[in-house]
Amino acid sequence: MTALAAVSLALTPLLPLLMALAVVPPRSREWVARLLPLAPLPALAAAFLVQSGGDLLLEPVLLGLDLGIDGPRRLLLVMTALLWMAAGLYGRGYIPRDAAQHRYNAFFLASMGGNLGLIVALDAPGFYLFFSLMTLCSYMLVVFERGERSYRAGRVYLVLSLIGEMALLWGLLRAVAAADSLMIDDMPVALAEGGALTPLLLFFGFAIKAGQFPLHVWLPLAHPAAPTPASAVLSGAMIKAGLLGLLLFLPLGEAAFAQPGLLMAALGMVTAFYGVLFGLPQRNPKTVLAYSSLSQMGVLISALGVVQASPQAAPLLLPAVVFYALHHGFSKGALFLSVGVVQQGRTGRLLALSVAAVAAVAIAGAPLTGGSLAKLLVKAGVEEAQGTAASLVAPLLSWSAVGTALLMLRFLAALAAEPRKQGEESKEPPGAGWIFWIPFAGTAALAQLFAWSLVLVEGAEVAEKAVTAYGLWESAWPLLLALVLAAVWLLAERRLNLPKPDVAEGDLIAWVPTLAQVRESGHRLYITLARPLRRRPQLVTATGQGLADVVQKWEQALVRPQGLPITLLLLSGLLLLVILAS
Amino acid sequence: MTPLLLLPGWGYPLLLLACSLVPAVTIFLLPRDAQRLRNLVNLGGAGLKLLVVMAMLWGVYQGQSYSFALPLGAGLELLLHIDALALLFITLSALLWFVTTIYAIAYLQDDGEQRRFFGFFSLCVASTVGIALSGNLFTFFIFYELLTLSTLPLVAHQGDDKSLAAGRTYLRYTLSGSAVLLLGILWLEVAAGSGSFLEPPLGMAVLAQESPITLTVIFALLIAGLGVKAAIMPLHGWLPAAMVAPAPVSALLHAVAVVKAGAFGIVRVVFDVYGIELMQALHLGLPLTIVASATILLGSLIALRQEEIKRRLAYSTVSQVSYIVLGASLLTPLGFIGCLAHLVHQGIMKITLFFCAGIFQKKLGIHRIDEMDGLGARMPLTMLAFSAGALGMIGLPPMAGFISKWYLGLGSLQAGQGWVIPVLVGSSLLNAAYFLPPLYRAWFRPARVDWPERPAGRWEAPLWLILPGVFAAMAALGAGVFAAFPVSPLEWARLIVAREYTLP
Repeated sequence: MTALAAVSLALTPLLPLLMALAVVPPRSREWVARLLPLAPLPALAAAFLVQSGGDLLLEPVLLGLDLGIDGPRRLLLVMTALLWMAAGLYGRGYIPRDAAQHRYNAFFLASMGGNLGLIVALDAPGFYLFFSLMTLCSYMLVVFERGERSYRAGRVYLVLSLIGEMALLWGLLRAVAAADSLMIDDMPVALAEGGALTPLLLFFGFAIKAGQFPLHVWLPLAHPAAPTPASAVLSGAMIKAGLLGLLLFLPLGEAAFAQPGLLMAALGMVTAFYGVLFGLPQRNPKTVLAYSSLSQMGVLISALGVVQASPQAAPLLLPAVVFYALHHGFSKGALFLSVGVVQQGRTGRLLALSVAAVAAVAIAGAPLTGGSLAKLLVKAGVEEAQGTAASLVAPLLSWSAVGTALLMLRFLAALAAEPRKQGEESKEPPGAGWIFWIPFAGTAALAQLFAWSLVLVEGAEVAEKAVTAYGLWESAWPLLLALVLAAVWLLAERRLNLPKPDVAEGDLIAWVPTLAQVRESGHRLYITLARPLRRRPQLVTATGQGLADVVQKWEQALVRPQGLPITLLLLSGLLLLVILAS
Repeated sequence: MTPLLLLPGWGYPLLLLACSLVPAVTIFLLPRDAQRLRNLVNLGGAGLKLLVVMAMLWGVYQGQSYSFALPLGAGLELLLHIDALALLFITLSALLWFVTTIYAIAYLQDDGEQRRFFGFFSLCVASTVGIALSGNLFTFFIFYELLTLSTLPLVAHQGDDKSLAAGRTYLRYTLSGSAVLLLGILWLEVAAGSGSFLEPPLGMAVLAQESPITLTVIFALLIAGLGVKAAIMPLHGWLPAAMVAPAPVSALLHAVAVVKAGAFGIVRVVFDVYGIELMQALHLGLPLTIVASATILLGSLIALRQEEIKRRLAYSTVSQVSYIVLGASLLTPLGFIGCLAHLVHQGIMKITLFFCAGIFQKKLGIHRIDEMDGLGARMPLTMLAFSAGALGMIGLPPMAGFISKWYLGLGSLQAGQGWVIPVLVGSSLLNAAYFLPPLYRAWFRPARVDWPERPAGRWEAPLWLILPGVFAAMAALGAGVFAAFPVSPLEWARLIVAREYTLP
């Protein structure tokens, strides 16, 4: 590896992290604020300079941090870096320039460092380090705007993320022990030979990040709660960390695992349709987008399930999944950014709506867009596969495209209805709009640019297929059907005066009781249960107050003079019994 | 030989001991109001010891070892010995003692009983060094008891009813524990010959053949005796009671002195007195693993219910120290690395938390978690250090706690005890449940009380109170980020295991 490549690779996670630290001294924080959009530059450089197969071992760091770029990492790194850059620039205009902006900058940079780092980490502890760095620091982005809504979203996000993190740690430890190696590359083979628990734990951990049903509830709360540029990277870039984890760790294409594959495919498809169903009644455009994100991730995870079940599809389907993720990342980023542009802009509102419309129909897979290429690629891959999983996913793919198209129309309607933000606009100097427009239009354009240039360079057949009558019709009919359905719905709504459906953000979470409610109902349950036992009060206290209480009682008893010696004797006896018995 | 001090090999253990013992005696001899001189003696001793320890580290790294033996007749021998394991503990105590001394001087500035405090404080550290240096069970026991006695005046330092009661509780627990420990030691001496740490006692192998039950009973006695100080449940009751002591004492108690002495003793018994082979042959590992796992979970569960900061920290110690016992009980190289690394990591993380809790209490009178609202804005530096310590306790990377957990997890898989990982992971979640709410309060809630105005242009608290905590927090971060760096706690633990405990 050349020196330049090595330096850019090391700086990929390090530069954002160092800049995050530089926010602390008041003197350097202004510079950080100015240079923030440039923080992902080393990542971009590394993506072009670092050859596959080479690695950079930073031996004293953590347990020997090993960095490198190969396989799906390169494309995801480019997309992630560009999206962070766009969001960084956008944030310069979006985040009010007060004292709080530095807090935002610090955690934005730290999350960026985590996100870029986890892509280039080749060893499991390093991956986990960056993964949890990103998870924790982006909590601060979710709650940045303060207020009850943000805090609630943050709480749900943090609890589910921590549970995911711990499942991940558990799985990683088992994987490392099974592979007898810290390197991620050695894991799939080891997992293919081992039992089901390890892959299950890893899947659980990554599925939470990717917002899969029924652990998706944090996502529609957290993604919209963050400031708009942070929402864009949360939904465009950070959500892909779960996907990347699955791509890197699971034994995809190693051997056929029919049942786990089928389960994955089914779960993905359930999420794909669930997201549409519960995204449609939403009114906040950002929430609609969040539901669309988890729905799209569901499509990708079901594709991975197909690979899991029939490994012969791997050579076609895995690159297709990466391609799909790339296009979705840029387009979804652009759509989130459009919300802020529409809210902010006095002029160009119509133009912003039309650019957003292009990105939206691209995600829905309209003919000749990158989205249609991605869908055709995935479809071709699934058709290559055999088995129950493939035969489940293949027909549902097109129907999920109908759902996506509906969701995108819903988003555009919500966006058009979005009121202009009052007051803030007047303070802005004239012509400041470019700081919103360049990242917004840029990411929307990059989605198409990247999709087409990749297809033309790598596999021209899909490009040819896309312009045939089959390809055009295949991409067009879901959109057309969605338009018809939407028109019918609008008509019906007007004529029949239907009630407007209303579903809370995070759907299921509304039914998950708060801690206070749990305590309250626990108490009620205790009283109900205790009633028949009232004649034996001692039993009730012992069982009802729980283990912790018993120990504390014991503790109090031991404080009495005769307590400890007796206990010690008893304990030694007990220990002896245990030892003798074992 | 180390270039720094040209002493004969037996001189080094004595020099190390003298670095704390001489200041202790000097402080008692100095007049009560000679504050400057006392601080000088104190810091001088602590500083000198740090230098000696550094020289020792170099020597031991090169493969040297140093012993001092003094036969006392009747087959008993006072044996001081420096090996890599002893040095791990000594380095931890020397470093944290230095930091705590600075903190204590700033903390107790207006206290009337400083001479008594610092005298016993130095004595306490001297005993800790003695425990680390001990080459056999007999020597270990002497210093272990010295530690018990020299800690008592520190626990009861404030002299009010509550402190005296805590002191009594402490004494009752530790003395009962010591009685059991002594019984075990004597029995072992009689049955198997001297309990040396250098080589397994001669009679052990024979006894294991003839009467494995005797060895099992002795093991139970030794662990029960040591378990009192290591706060293994249900022998932990003294620890939460002792939190009435001043913050520097709690810090030292929880990080290096008392609980660590118990844990260190357990490590010595498991690996040096009994040895891995014998432990495996007698099936002694699993019961210890179970007890440690139960303590880890129950300690965290009870911590969840505590509303006082220091009490919550105390129960967290109960839980965290059992990680060390757990690592030892796994009887695998990786588990043992985790155990030794956590011995150091828990120390630096917990001392950070107690330093900060002391500042909250002293400067703003904050005792309870619900009084921490808005603390982040008022005391940003202290709160940052506290947050670092708390995140480390949860075991999030790149803090030191993550490294411990990683090795303990791998060690349990190596031992074929995969069920331990859910215990570790569950404990992490519980830790998150009781450490994140205070952080949330401090950083996100508005302050509920009008605290005294912070003087313009001044630090949030006296600098000498803040710096020790910040330093310890940086150390906890550094030990994690640079875990594979040649002089990190983890690497030293690896060195010990590679040198002394390779499995056949």
